[in-house]
Amino acid sequence: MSWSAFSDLVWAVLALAWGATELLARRARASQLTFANVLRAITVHRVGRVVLALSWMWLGWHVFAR
Amino acid sequence: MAQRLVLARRRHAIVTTAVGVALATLASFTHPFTWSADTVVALAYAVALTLAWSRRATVVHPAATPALLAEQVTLWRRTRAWIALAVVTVTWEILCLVAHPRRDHPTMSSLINQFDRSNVSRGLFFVAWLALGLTLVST
Repeated sequence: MSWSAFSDLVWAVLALAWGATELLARRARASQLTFANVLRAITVHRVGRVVLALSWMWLGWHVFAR
Repeated sequence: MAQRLVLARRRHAIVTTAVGVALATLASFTHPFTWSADTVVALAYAVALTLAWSRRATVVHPAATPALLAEQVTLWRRTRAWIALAVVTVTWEILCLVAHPRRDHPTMSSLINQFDRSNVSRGLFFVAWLALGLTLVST
């Protein structure tokens, strides 16, 4: 297996893991929070809100401008 | 009074959506490392800041009471899977970032760039990014 194929496989497994965690979290008696609720929990704190806002700004700058 | 509030919120949502679609359309015609791309991203920041400013009086964040702090302990347990996933993803991103060539070790950015080449996909990515930002400032 080439490095390129291995890297693609790891990214695909990670994407599936994120999706599966969200699906499991949406079950009625899930032990984990959904992603939206994790974000909500982070924004309870001022520092969390600032970190998330800065992360969002960086993401847009990185993907669309630089 | 309540009806006026509903109308104001509806007008607010329509204006925000229209501005978002207009910005995404503009963004779909821009390319990285140009002043037009910088301007569109800066305009998106301005929209998010304006929304955050306009909602500052209506969004109430709970104070850190003992009950809430106890809830935080439970919260830690209920977010373990997400934290583990985030750590693994960031570790893999860093490993890819320091390895070369990029074709064999793609980072998240290089993967996004592959899907980001057409005007339509670029516009859709911009809508998704803007919607995420506006959701963050609205919660």
